[in-house]
Amino acid sequence: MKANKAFCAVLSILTAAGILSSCGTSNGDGDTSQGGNNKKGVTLSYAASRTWVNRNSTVDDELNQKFTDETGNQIDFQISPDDQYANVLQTKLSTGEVPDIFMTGSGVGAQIYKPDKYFADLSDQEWVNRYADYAKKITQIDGKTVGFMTWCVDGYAILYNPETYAKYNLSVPTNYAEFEQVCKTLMDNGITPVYETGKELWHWAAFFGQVGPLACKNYDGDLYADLNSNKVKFADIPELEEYLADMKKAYDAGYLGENSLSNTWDSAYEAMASGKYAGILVYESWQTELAEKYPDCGAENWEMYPVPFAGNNMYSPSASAIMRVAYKDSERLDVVKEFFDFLAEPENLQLYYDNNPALQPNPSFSDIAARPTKGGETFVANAAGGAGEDINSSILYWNDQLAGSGIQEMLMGTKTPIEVLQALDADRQKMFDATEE
Amino acid sequence: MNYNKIYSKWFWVPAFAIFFILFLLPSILGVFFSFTNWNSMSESLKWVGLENYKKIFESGSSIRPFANTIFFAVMTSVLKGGFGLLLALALNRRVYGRNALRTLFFLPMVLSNVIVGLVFQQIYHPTTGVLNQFLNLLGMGSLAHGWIIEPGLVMWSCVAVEVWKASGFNMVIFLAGLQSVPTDLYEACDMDGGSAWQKFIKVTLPFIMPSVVINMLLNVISGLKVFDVIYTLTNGGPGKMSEVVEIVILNEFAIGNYGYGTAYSTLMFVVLIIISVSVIKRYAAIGGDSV
Amino acid sequence: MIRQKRIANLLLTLLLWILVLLIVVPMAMIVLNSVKSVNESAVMSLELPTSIHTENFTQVLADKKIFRSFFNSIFLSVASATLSMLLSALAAFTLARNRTKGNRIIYIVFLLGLVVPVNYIMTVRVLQTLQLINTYLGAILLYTAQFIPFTVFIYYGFILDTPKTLDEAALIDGCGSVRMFFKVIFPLLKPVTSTAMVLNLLNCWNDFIVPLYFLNSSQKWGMVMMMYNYFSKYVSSWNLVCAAMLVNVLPIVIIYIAGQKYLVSGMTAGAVKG
Repeated sequence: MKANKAFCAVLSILTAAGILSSCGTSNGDGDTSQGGNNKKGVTLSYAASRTWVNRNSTVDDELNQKFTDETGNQIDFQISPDDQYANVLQTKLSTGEVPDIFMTGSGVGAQIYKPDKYFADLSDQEWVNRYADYAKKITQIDGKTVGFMTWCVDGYAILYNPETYAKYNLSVPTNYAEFEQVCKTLMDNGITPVYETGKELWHWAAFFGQVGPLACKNYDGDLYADLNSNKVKFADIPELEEYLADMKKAYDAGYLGENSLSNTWDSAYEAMASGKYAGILVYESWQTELAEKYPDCGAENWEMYPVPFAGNNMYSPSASAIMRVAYKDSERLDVVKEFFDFLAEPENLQLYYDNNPALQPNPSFSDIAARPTKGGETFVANAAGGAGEDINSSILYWNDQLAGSGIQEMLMGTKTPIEVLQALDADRQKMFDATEE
Repeated sequence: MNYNKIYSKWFWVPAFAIFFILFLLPSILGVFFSFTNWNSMSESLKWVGLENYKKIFESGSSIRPFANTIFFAVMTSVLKGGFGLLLALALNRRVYGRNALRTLFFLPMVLSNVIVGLVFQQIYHPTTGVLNQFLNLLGMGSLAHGWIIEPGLVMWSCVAVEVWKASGFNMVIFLAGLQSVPTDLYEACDMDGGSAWQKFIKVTLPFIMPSVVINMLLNVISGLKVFDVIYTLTNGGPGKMSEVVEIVILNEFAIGNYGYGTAYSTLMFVVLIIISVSVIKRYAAIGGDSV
Repeated sequence: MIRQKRIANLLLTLLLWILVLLIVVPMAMIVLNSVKSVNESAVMSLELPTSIHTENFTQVLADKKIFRSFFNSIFLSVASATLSMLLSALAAFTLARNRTKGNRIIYIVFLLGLVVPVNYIMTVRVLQTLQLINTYLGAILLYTAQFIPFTVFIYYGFILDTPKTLDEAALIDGCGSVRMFFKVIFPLLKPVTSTAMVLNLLNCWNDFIVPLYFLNSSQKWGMVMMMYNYFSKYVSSWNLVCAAMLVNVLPIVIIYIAGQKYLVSGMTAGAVKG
């Protein structure tokens, strides 16, 4: 029995020691014991999803390190796998373990994180004045600037090699019938018209979202506002159904490739460089990335045209971008603002954009020179119908995953176009119901 | 002898305390949310009774994830068990390089599922994947398929990956069971002129029955809880063809439908309990009074 | 008769080595691609590299954070595997030896842990109450809590099989019961102990949920998280991704190979006779 008591005593001491030591560490969040050569400072926690930072580079790490060198404050980068990020962030918000800085989509995408409760008001910051107009607009919620954004908004369109088109005497299609002719000619010559990275659900969602501006133009009233107030449903809009039906036709005819559902996004560089494919649905700066990876394919001279399904002929930039949000009640909010100021310094902004070719066509800061791509310019030139924002970034409770898997189901024939739209409506209805109560 | 003195109850208290406080308690508290409208958008929590469960049963789209999950659990259990048993029987004999073989067959268990998913995505690719290239090489090009994009095949391909990964674990448990078979019984059976099959049925099987049950229990549990293998391999696609319950739960949580998501996971919990209890009961019947 | 048996064994050996190829090929792909150039590895194949690029590994290892996360992984895995092993052995011992009605219920409650779904938000709340959130200790206890059910389960079966007479002899010798357990019984449990250690180390090494949700400082994160970050840094550079995978997997393979000879014997005794 003595031994028992001794054992229990040891256990309780251990537990007590553990609790004490844990208090110690949690209070000591700000200590910079590591390294030793740093000035004393605080540590900012910074949560992000993995594809949003350090993409193809280490520029975010470099900037964080530079900030530490200059101010002595540390940045603790907490990078989640993409599939876990939304969940991790929601968990941290609802339990009060909120990081000092976290990344979210801008615009309607940010709504699911309760901006009024968690997002600090950054309207009075110096860098807000240097925002490009679109950036100023999409980082605002209820008139307040809530995000520090170093991103780019541009549209998705079909990038093609004009030399290939010229070789077979093809011109840019402006409707489905013309598109079909182009594809048939290409296929007769052993070239797959479009390389579709159809394993990625978000890519199908992006494909679909480009019809938005056209649907808005033909709608009597403000379509997005009516969708967001649940006055009208996707299933009510004929353009959406027609566009989906055209996607299905193109898929069935093999214009998007035989095995498009297997193709991952990362595989697109190699595929497009191989010359076996004539086109691909990408954002405006993608050709810069491709040209960098495969300099021989001449991708920087390729051109773009709007997806001509359902007669679409519009330029459709996304209104969605990724922004950094400061936690409203952070004890270190001052340092967070200091960090944003640091990132907004022209030199650092330049470094950031230099390392992110994908973000160069249309930077969020007016003092960074935009480097439009050939594709972007031709996309606009080929868009006779004008411009408007795509669906993906403008619709409350839009979910790329759900949309993408719905479209895949349609392609496999288990859902009709109208059923895809009805299912999306049903999913959004769930969210409307939940928030009404 | 006073057993309570030797086998002090304090022995199980520390383990139980940690397990209960940090694992069981939060999980059970979580069940409460399945009766509420909890979601990331609304400020107040409202009691909705069985509403979430009703929605699950009423929604036609819940059928496929459940069917897929059950298919996956049953198929992987049987195949992992079958291959595991065959491997164990083979590796219980004096084959050359026995230890190396045992090590290699178990090795995939060591890999994280993320790696496994990424690698098999590449292997299964219809044009650039090793599997179809290999079939073409053997002149069996007609057997080449879009392994994870053809609706009829995708679940099988997922099952194959799990079998590849975890048959070795089953093998180890069977090997362990085989050590308990007394060799003199085999000799006795040899004397009687029994065939290999008869030896297996009459001698081996009764002795390894506990390993069969344990393997099946663990296989079914891990099969019903499957998430990351399928998530990294297909993300539930194409469409929702390979969606399993845990993926639905993750998707619901990601859009902030906590109440509904929790109802799903609670439902799974109940199913798992029913299955486990019945297996354990059977286990107890075979293994004597072990529970 | 003996000759026939030999031939059968030979054929069986051959068959098994062919089968093992199925297991090895996917892993060989990782190894092959980790030493290729970017363009050669664009499509993961079994073709041999034209030249060996060991600099892939130097590039991955150049990140100084990798060493910190390596030690984090080691620390978290060893601490939680050891703690769950000690506590589970003790618990399984009393529960298996003294099977009163109450103890059986306790055992069944332990088994519930095999199937119960984790609720992250409630777990964070409990850790907050205990002031264990964001601490190594919290993470270790959390892993321990998650490993205990399976570990108790395999110890329980094994202990049922060891003779009770030893306990009594030890007691008569005047050992207190904790001392008696660690002096007399625990050494007998060595096979299960190795099994439990290997499996729990594996699970802990590959886990990314606990760091993600319960440790809000990347300074405390392990190797798996590093590997994830490489996936985006090296997007579509399969050679580097594979090198990162190997760096992550290697330590655990070594642990496994070191522990594997006990694995079978541990299972023999533990789970199987349960």
